[in-house]
Amino acid sequence: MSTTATDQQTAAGAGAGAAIHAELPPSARGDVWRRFRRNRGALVGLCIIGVAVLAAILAPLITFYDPAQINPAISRQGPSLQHWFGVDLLGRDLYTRVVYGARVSLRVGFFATAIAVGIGLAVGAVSGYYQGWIETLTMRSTDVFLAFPYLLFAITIIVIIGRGELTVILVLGLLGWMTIARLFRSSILSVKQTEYVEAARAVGCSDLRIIGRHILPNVIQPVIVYATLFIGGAILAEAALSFLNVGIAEPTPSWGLMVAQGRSFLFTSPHMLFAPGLALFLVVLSFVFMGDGLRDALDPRLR
Amino acid sequence: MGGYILRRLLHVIPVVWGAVTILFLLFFIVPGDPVQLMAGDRAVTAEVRANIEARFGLDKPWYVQYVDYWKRLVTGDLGVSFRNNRSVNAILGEAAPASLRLAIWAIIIEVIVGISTGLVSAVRRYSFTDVLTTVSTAMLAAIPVFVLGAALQYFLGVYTFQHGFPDWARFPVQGIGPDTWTFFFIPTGSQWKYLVLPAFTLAAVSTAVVARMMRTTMLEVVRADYMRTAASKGLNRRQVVLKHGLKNAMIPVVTLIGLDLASLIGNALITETVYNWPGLGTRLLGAIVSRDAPIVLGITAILVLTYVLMNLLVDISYSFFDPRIRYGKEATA
Amino acid sequence: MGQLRCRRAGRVLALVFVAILALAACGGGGGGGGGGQTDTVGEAGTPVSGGDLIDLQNFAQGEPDHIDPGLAGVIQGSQMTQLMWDGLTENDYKTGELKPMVAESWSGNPEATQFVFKLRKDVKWSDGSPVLPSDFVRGWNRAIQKAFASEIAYHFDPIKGKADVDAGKATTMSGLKADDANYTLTVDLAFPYSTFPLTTSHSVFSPVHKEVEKLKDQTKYEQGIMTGNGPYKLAEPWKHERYIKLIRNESYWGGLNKHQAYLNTIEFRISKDVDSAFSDFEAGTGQTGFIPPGRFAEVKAKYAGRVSDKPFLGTDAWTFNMKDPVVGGPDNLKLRQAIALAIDKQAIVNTVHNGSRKVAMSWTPPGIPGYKEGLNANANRDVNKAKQLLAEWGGASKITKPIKLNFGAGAGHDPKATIIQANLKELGIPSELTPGDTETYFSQMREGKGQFLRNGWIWDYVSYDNGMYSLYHSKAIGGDNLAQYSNPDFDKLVDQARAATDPAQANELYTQAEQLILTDVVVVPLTWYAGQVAYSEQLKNVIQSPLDFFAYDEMWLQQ
Repeated sequence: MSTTATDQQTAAGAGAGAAIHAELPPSARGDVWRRFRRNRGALVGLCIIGVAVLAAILAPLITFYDPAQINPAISRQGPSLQHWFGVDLLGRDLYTRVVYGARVSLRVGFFATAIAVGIGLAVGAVSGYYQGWIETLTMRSTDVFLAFPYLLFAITIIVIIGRGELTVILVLGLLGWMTIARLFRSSILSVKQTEYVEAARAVGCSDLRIIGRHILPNVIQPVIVYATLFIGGAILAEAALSFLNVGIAEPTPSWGLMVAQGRSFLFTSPHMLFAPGLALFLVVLSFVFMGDGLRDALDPRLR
Repeated sequence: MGGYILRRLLHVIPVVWGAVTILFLLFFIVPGDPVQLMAGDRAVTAEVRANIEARFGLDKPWYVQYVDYWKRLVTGDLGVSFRNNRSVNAILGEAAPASLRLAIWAIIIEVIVGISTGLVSAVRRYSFTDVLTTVSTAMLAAIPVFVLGAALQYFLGVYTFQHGFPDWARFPVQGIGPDTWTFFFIPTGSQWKYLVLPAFTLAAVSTAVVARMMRTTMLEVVRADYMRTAASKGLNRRQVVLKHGLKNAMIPVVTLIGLDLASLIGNALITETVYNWPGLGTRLLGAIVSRDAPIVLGITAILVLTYVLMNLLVDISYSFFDPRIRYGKEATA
Repeated sequence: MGQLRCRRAGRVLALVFVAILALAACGGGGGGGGGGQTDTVGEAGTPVSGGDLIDLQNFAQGEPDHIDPGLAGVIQGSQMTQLMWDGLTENDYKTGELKPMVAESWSGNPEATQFVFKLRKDVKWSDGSPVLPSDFVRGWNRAIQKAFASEIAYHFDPIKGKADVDAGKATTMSGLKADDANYTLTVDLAFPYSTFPLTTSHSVFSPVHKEVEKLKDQTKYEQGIMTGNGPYKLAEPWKHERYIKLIRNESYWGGLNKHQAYLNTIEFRISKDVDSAFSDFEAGTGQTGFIPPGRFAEVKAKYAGRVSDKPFLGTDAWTFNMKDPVVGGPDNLKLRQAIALAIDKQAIVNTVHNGSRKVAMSWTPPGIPGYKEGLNANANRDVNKAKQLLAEWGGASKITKPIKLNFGAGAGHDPKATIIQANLKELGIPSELTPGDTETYFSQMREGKGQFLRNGWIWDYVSYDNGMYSLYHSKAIGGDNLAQYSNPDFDKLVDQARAATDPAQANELYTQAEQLILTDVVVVPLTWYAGQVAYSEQLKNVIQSPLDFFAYDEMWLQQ
């Protein structure tokens, strides 16, 4: 997980971006969108994600079988007219399960990211704005959590608490806030001393108002980019957890679980791996492209 | 500089303490029955249960166990495994070298291939190479490690064998092989064949990330004022890029490599499982699932320590890239 | 200069890309594996001594926890102890019959409370010293010591004096008497148990060399070189997570077939992942491979004649919690019958096991002496009859909460549970998959928290009793009787069977007992286990025993 999202943004955001952003007024949306549109990869990514979200919402309307309906007689058959992606070990239609799987993957991705961003922003804001012992405490805790081999920690907690979608979301979210906190904190640090923040304080705005109204809009860009990449990473992480048998369990159609199961039949019934695998791959890839595009669009210095 | 290192070393202690404590609490506070787990399917009679509990001190309250554990830890004794009573130190000693070797090679690949590809694609922006790199690194970053592993295993291991490819194209599917090395990490004899697939699988994702990062920072740097100044002074392109640009671009990349170690450990777990590479990853996974607390705690403590120390090294290396740090100023966050 | 380097880098990348694409294009249906020459098992000429075997099947699913005869409870570990120690008796690998090994004969008293074993005089340890009755006594007492904490000490329960050791009143079992001068071993039992000699084929009853007396911590024994009296011995200490290497024991007395083992060495490689291990076998690294579940049909076709898939003594089943208000007890018999009839066992065989197993037609599998065919009236699927019985019981609407389908997570039971769930849905019965994590699953089931739970059994020895007493006797509640079954009629039948000295009479009683549990529908047997091992052309004489052991001392490699 961390690979796609983590530290790319720590360094990029912390190092270069923040200083310049402080001098800009809150970004002109039209400008950003125009730059984004120019990046073909990002556009393709956005489209694919759009399709995935639509498919997830309209799942019952665009599929023809019940995802739980078994048909042992045709176990593992390949793609055909009745079953566009073929069937799995128990004869369940793979097209149906892939579409319903979009629901699960996207839910895991979005909610885990929401949790991570929520916590990360809070911690980052607090430690960035209030210096002193609060800052030290939060930064040390961040270090502790960051020092943890992420996957190990996730596996341990899940093994102890029990498998399931909720656990996976919680765990992925709770282990992902650190980088956002760091990112946010360094952005805040560099913006804190600027003139308009001083002016706001002079006028008498409360701390919360200053953070919310003046600092936030300027420093949110790296967080947005990171969050986008994090969604892809979370979806990938869930697949890894299912591969190691500690993720989402049957009979839920999760892409990760389907890929893990399909791997055993890679040489005989490859469609069992490729259908969910391709979906997984395309969606994660789309988030990566979108993250790239957003970063390029939001950072004018790169043009 | 010395003071800086000392201060950072002091930070290591609370981090390791915090990590181990959290794990300890997880294992011993949350209800569960490690004794039953050790016994497997069969019923555990009261006598056997009492014996096992006495042997591992499980009958004492958790805070007593906590203190006992730290008392032993400070002397370097990581305890004994619940499952087969072997010393964790011995298990670590067996498993760590294999993981280290794999990790070293993955990092070598990641650094060399990642940095050079990122550099090339930044310098030749929008060329075919650049597009190829961007697309392939994005793809490698998105593909699950175990799928990549399975594919490589099949195409380069099983398929080449079954269709009679020449020997140089056939790679072993799993295992560590003869386990012969010189200078700790250089493979000798046929060892390198067993190393190739796992090392590349493990390095793939990290390499992609490093390449992308390198490209990004290089692109930023290339447009900076000092670069234009250097060029206008008469230095040729290569000198400009390498002497001035590269060093500055390296800082975030080095940071990334350091932070990426955490995910490297996670991916190593999966890679070792897929290729049956007998390292810490496979031991740890088995120990977590069977709630063999001493092994989990022991290995995690070592991993956390390693990770923190590696990041310290990374921080120190900043001084080579940024002279301002050498003279006492800390790098940004 | 710099530009040249850049271009080369780009070219290398492109080449790698193209190479991978090319390989992928040439790939696709991997048909026609190496060779394809069929060979009948064990009939390809005379065995030659020599050769080194690399075994990828025994530890394909991971490392065993123990290879010490007093501790090895898991079958993969027992495979090692079988090769390194010979016990009093052994089950014939082809027929399952009990054969004398180190004990050349034995006799029991009419009450079946005492057995006297007469040992052979020519059996030697690998260091050349003779194997004596006191070696057996040493091994047996060692296995039950409290500090040893062996999970398989329960095998010694029938022996007089074990209860005292458990209670701490003694350190050795009073029922054991060794007469080394006359090579006899006398065993007094705590209760009448006519088939006690059958149990001595389990490797926990192995003799143990006196070298253990030097050890302070008995659990460390298996980390070093253990001296045994079997056809093979350890070549080097156990290399954890990598392999266990055995070498032929030149002092071996010859065994039942009167010859030394043929293979010089056997390296049992330890794998973490069944699929990778089998890929390795296909790549030619080893001569045996464990067929991953679900690839069975394809592998059987590809390696025709080189697959060992004999059934072995194990039954995969689901049991009802007889104390549960919804499914248990005599009132809910019709519900249980309906469920038993609705489950599509053949579908499970076809999909999950890929045809490698058979639908179980009774609880006890064929191969157990006394086995009777077709004891289970509810074996074949009959949805109509199920619906009728369900209606007679009161209809599916009577079930307010979904029935819990309990099983241990991560052991491959998910697809079976999913099929059962779908089958129940056909009748209108709601159910939910309730995987329990391995840590707490068995203790929770023992406490009676399950409803319909997965409960398979692999026989420890080739005896009818092994699948009866520990699972369904009321004394075993809190132990392996996860069904919480308590039926005085059943108890009486089994107790009488244990006391009966005439095997035919004993088997008749066991059969009646089995009929009780099947008509009460305490258990729904699904499939009987079967082997799933493939091996290379050069490996000859691969024999799989009814207990799923392989006779490595009979195998030989054609050079």
